Amino acid sequence: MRQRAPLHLVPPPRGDDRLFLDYSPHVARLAYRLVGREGDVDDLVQDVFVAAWESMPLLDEPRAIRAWLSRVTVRLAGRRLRRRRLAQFFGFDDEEPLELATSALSPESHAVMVQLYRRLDELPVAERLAWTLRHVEDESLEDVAALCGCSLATAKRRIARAQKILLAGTEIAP
Amino acid sequence: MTPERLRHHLDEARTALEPAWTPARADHVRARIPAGRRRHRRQRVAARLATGACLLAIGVILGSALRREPSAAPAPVEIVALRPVEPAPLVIEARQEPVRSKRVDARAEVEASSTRVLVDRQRSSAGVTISSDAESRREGPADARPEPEATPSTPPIPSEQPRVELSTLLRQADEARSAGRLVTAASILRQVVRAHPDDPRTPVASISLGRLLLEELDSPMEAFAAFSQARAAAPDSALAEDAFAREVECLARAQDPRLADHARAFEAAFPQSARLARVRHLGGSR
Repeated sequence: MRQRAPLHLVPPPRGDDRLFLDYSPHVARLAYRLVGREGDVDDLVQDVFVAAWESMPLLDEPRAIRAWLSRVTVRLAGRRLRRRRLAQFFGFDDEEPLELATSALSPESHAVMVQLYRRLDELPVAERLAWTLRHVEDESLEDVAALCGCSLATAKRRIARAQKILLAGTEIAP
Repeated sequence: MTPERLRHHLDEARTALEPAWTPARADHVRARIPAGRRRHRRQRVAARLATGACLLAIGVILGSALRREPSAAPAPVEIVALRPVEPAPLVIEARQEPVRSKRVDARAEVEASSTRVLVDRQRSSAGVTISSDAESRREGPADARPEPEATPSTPPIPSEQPRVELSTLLRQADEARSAGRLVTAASILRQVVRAHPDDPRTPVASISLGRLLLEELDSPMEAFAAFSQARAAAPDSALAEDAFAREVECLARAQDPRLADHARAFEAAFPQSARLARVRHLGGSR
């Protein structure tokens, strides 16, 4: 498993351009894993950094910029997923849930991922975000709770509920 | 699918779950950020303008509502202590003679220093009762109170009031006669006969008037006219026999020359009457 640096040990930004260059890959990856669509990543990254540059003077701890950008990304991704859910309800959204950027996966894993993100689209947004952060982004439970803005118990409950639904609905034929 | 199997697939796919975040794509997104900031700023300004417009509208509404309120402060209410006022005794003379007067609403307002006392004159056995304004306030507005039945100590003179009910007049006539005010009683009965000629009680009133004039007031000819009127008003009733017999008595008392003829007419009309012997005696025939 990949080892991640603690959130508070990220160095502070050295300007708007530098901030974008340093953190846009992280924001783009997190956004892609949360929403599951390549086309939404650009808009999400733009919105995250617009919000970052508007609110950057209010940030007391520059070392926590990565965690702060992650929280903004999770919040905006949740807003976009809810908007997409509404569009699907009215029949305005017919895109595929997952567009994998690489074909380096085995056919079985590719099928699992496609089926997994299709099931994620049926979950409540809060549970989807918590489960994705925990099992796809591989964050700790405490970080999941902090990123989702909820308590640790709520984060655990959301992850467990989503896990139960996903395991029951994701079956791959041998 | 088991959790371990799902974790295995996730570990394998984690490297594939990466967007194609190339420098060119990053520059493209980076170039869009100022426009996004401007849009964000416009949205923020629009939100503030909308908030200001709402606050302004609320202020205008509140201001217009406050302008409708009277600008001047209300005048302080002066509280005047009420002092009890001794009611002055009112003396009303009871008149035996009929007096032509109009019935008036016996109410007078008496101003005593700063205290306003409303005096209601109500008829009682003694004549007058007085109620203060405070009492009238306890009972509600004076105008809303039912007017006490105004019965003056002296009976009203009915000749000027044709609207007075017949039963009231008859009762007043009985009261006046019982009280010894015979002239008043006769006057009331005359009013009854004159004002209500078609009422079925009028013949009885005419007989009462005739008896009063004949027996008490020594006016036989006027009594004769009253009895005649009663007989004419109810010729087929039992009263006609009594009225006819009393007509004969009136003529006898007045020594009228029509006495004999009237007595014979009674005998012809009521040959079986119990009063026939009396009428024959008065008429001078056997």
